[in-house]
Amino acid sequence: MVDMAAGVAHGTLFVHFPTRDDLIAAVIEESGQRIAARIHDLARAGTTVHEILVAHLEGLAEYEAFYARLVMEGPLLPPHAQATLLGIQSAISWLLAGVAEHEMAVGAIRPMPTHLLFNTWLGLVHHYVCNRELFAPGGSVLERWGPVLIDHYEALLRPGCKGGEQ
Amino acid sequence: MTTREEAREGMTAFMVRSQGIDEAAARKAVDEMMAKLPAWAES
Repeated sequence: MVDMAAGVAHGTLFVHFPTRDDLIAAVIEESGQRIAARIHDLARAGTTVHEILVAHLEGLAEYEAFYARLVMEGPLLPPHAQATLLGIQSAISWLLAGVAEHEMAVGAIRPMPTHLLFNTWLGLVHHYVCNRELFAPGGSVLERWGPVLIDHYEALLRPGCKGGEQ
Repeated sequence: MTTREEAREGMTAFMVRSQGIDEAAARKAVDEMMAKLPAWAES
C-alpha cells in the first residue's frame, strides 16, 4: 500500500526499508522532525507565554492525529522513536522556558520550577489529544478546546493563584 | 567551538531543568538525538 501511494515498485520499498520496523521508524522520525520544525517556526517570534502556547497548539493541530498516536504509543516505541517525541517536546520547552522565566522574573506570572510549568501544560494538552474522540468526535480537539485550555492554564499561572511554588 | 561532550552535557542539563527528566534518562535521549545529527554523530 505504501509502495502504491509512493508510486514505486514493491521491491524498491524493501531496498530502502528492509523491515516494517525500519519503515515505521523512518516515518516517525521524518514526521517528528517536521512537527518540531513547524512548532519552532510558529513559536520562535513569540515574546509572551500566551503567544508560545498559541503557536504550540497551532503547530500540533496540523499533525493532530499522528501526534496523538505518537504520544499514546510513545512508551512502547523503540528508543530512537521516543527520542523523536522528546525532540518535539524540547522544541517547545526551549521557547516556553525562555519567555516564562522572563515573565516570572518581572512578576507577570507566579514563580514555579520551569519543568513543572512545562509539564503541567503538556499534561493538559496530551490528555485532550489522547482522548480526542471523547472531547471532539470526528474533529480537531485542539481547534475546539485549544482556546479554553490556554485560558485555563494562564489562569493557573497568574500571580494571585496559590500552590506549587516550591 | 563547542565540543561534542559540551553539547551533550548542555542539552542534558537543559532537559533536566526544563522538563524535569531524570539526568541519566535525559543523557540517553540526547545520545539518541545526537546520533541522528551528522555534525554530532560519533564516528
